[in-house]
Amino acid sequence: MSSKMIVLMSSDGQSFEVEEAVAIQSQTIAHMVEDDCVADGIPLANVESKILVKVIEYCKKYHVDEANPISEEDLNKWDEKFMDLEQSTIFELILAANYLNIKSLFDLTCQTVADMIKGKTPEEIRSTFNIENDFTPEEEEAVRKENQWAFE
Amino acid sequence: MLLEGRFSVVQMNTNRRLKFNQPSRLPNSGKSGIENERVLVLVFESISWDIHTLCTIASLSRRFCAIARRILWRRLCVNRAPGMVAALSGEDPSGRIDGGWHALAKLMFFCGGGESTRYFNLSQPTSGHFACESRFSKTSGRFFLPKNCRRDLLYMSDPCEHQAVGGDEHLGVFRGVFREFMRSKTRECLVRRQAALEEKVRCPYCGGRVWSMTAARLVPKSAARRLGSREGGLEFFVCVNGHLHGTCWLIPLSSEEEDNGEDDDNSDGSELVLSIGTPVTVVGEVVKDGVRGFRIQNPENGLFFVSPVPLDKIIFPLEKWSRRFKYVSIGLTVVGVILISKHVIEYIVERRRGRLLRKRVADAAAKRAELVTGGIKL
Repeated sequence: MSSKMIVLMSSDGQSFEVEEAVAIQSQTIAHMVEDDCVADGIPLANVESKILVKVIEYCKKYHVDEANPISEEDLNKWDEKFMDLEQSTIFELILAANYLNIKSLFDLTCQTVADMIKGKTPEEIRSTFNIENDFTPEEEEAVRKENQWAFE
Repeated sequence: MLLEGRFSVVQMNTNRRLKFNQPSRLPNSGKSGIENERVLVLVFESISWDIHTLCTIASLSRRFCAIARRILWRRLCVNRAPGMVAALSGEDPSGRIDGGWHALAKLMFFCGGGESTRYFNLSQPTSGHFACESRFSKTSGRFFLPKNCRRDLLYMSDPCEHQAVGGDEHLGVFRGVFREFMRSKTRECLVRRQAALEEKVRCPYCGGRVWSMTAARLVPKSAARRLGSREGGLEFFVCVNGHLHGTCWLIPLSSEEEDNGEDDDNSDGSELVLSIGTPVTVVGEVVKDGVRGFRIQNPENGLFFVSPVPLDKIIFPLEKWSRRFKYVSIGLTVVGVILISKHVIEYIVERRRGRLLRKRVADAAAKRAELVTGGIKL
């Protein structure tokens, strides 16, 4: 049984051949397949090749069937390793998962970033993301007062 | 829920208390870090716009502060109260709101506490606090508007109860927001009355200057009733951006009043507690509601109320009065006709009398002439 292949083209011109069953985990691609406009390949103008590689890797892992059986526990462990990435890559993955409409990848990437910012102090977040505090002391005090109300 | 990453460029709101010396707005395209606005919106959407996190993010740097003011606070308000925000921001395509979105978010989720003011004496101030859930109602807002300003749109919160030192009464703290306050009748009234802005009080949400509605004598009696306060036991302020905040003394409820949910005073509209299955009469505007058929909504001009009284009983007293007015108008018409025709009748009678008199005079003259002629002949 030969599976149907689809060609995905990244924004920087690289092409990737993927099984249709793997690719349609993306709702965006699934709609295009339904509309039958995938003959010449699918151009993904918003996704770079290095990000598309990761997306395809994720989709292949999550294409669970008899040929590729995997437990949820194993998937969770795999997710952790998968998300051990540079921050810029994680943010690009969020945008790509949103554009391609892959809910599970989107939830995973957003949750990773959310865990880095929720319940943290400004200093901790600045250190995590290497953000420069460019407020003057007076500005910082005023901004702190302006946003203190949620903690009272 | 996944979003389309499409944003329009909006003008940055300047906070009246905080201005940066250097521009903090950087181009959005090509930014791949956490400072990317699209990434921030998607992440906040996934955490249901957690307010504490948003306050923290807004304190990170100038860029984050600007993004929060321009986009994130607005998206939070829209997410939490879409109907109210749509009503308040109206048709403004730039997405701006008087006082800024941060101020509106604070108004939605922060009770400012109370302190002594000119017309409201409080022995000890109570501090403000985060309010994770509040109910805002434009129906309540109408009770706080003077009669000639009832076309303004004002959303009011339920009063937040605070323990006050001494006495049986609890302190009620309430807040609200006008739609397009600059164009409202309420502001027009304040300006016409030359109401002075308060010297010592500021808006707890945007820092703007405020008018005391109590000092301007623009507090209707219905406001105290709506709050469950006594007349004269409240004061509230409206700021130049249309934010309202105030305090009142809440009348303690006795156990009988707490059990009895009925309110007999229907003069300004009030609330009734009805048992399930009670038939009600609804008067309003019927509009088609797509798939589900029809719905009844509050018309722009006209009555809108729900009552357990049957429709014919609502109409009957109105019929009685209209009959009375009909009889009175017929009677007055008759009186009017009589008054007008009286002059005409008098004129006709006068002329007839004159004609008869002239006839008698002519007859008498003729008789006398005959007598004279008869005497000469003899």
